[in-house]
Amino acid sequence: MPAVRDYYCPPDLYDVIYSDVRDDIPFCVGEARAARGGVLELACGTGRVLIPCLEAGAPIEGLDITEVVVGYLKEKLPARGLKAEIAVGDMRDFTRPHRYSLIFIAFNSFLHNLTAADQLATLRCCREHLESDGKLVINLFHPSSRKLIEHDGVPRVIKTVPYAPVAVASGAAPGWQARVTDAGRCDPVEQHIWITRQVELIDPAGRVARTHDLAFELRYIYKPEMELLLTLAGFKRFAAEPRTGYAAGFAPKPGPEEGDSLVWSAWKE
Amino acid sequence: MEGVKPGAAPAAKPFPQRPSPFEDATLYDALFAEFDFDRGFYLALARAARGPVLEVTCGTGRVLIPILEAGVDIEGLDLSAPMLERLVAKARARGLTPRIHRADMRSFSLPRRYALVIIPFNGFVHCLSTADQLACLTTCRAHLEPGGRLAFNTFFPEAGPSHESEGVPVLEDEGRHPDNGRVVRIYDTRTHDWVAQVQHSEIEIQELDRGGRVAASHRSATDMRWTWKPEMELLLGAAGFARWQIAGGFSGEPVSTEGALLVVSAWTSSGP
Repeated sequence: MPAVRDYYCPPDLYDVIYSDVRDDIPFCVGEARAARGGVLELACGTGRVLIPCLEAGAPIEGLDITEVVVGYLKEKLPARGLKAEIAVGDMRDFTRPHRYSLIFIAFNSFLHNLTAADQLATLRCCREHLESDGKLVINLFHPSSRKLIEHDGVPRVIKTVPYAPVAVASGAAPGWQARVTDAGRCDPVEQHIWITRQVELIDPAGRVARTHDLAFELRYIYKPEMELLLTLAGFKRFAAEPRTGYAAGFAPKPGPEEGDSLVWSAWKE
Repeated sequence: MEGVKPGAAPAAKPFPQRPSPFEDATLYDALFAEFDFDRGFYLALARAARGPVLEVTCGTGRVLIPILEAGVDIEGLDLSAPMLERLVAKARARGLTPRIHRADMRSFSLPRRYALVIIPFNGFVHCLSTADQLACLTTCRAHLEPGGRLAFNTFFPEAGPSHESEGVPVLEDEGRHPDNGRVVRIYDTRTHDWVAQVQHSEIEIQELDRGGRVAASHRSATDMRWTWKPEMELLLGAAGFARWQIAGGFSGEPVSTEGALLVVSAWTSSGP
């Protein structure tokens, strides 16, 4: 299993294959703008969410574990006339000089914590970095028992998106596409999912010009388990708000039900 | 279980309130008295214990009476008065005098400390909220001697088969009524709340006459809160246990979806 760092590299490829995930951005921007003090995004990656927050005027900083990704994001900002503190850091064990009104971890990145020790370390570290009226927001999918049993190791094309590297304007490649094929396995006892991913870059004539092999591992979390984790990390007040999926508007909905996106909010006090 | 407060059970309950299936101890025994899959495990643990043993949710004594017959210093605890009455009657018929307590597994307080506390046959799943679960585990731990062991077994649903039989009456078991000799059948109609982790059972127990016709029907309902393995480990740590082992069966096999069983042992101290 390659390290999680490799999954996000090359970072311009990440931007390409997640260029269609936009629906959670208004929510994140809204949270960042509503914060009365500093905002920190953990696992900020290539700035999919952080850049729109900056553009909306939110005072946001970013932290990510992958040096190459941090370097890439730092290059993207000036080209857009933006400025922000972006640093390399591990969500389980980071130290910042100040405290925040809002810390958030978007788009399931909290699931990179593979053990209970990692999960608790991240939650505790976040809590330490919150102001007394600060809030931690974590977006997670709720597992679906029907979908989990479909992780049978068979490769399936999950999407085909236009291949237009965003970092370099001249890199736009009209007519090129990126085809993403995933094969998933699941351990329903220990709650791990392993995805082996192949990204094929397809030229305008339909030929596969290049392939990238990626892999990642997630440790999914059930609702009562997350409540227990937050409690053990010292949070006394928290809530889980169900939302529709990342391709379905990320809108509030009744529930929660299996497979929902859950917005977890946990207040320091 | 009778009298267990619903705690954090799901708020929306589309089901009519029915009596608990644990109020009729005779019918319970008609169906479950001969269940033997876990008895050897708990009997061996009780025999090996170097001190008194406490069985929580002892019911009608399916596990407790054989342990008592083996000469072990065991006490029993249950919330259901009818179940305990039947246990006492059965034990007396064998010349035994059981020491039992009618108490709630989340809040009992007994003067003795035990080398072993056991909760066989899914007794723990009647704790419907995390608060109930932690109260039960913490209370059990407080009743253990230093180095003492808590042992219990629970289940988790297997996704595929659970979906196939969702809302469908399934014949779970057949037995014979100890008083009137009729064939007794239990049908369980299960539905699952996969977010709250609650399995709801609508139960019909039928008594059949000699011609196979339904002579009597007893309806009841119960909720069971399952726990996934990583969540169980968090609970044990939060309840103050120093170490634990979680197996998928009574022979120490690994946890698997096929078994859908968690056999938990937890110790109050870290030493072997």
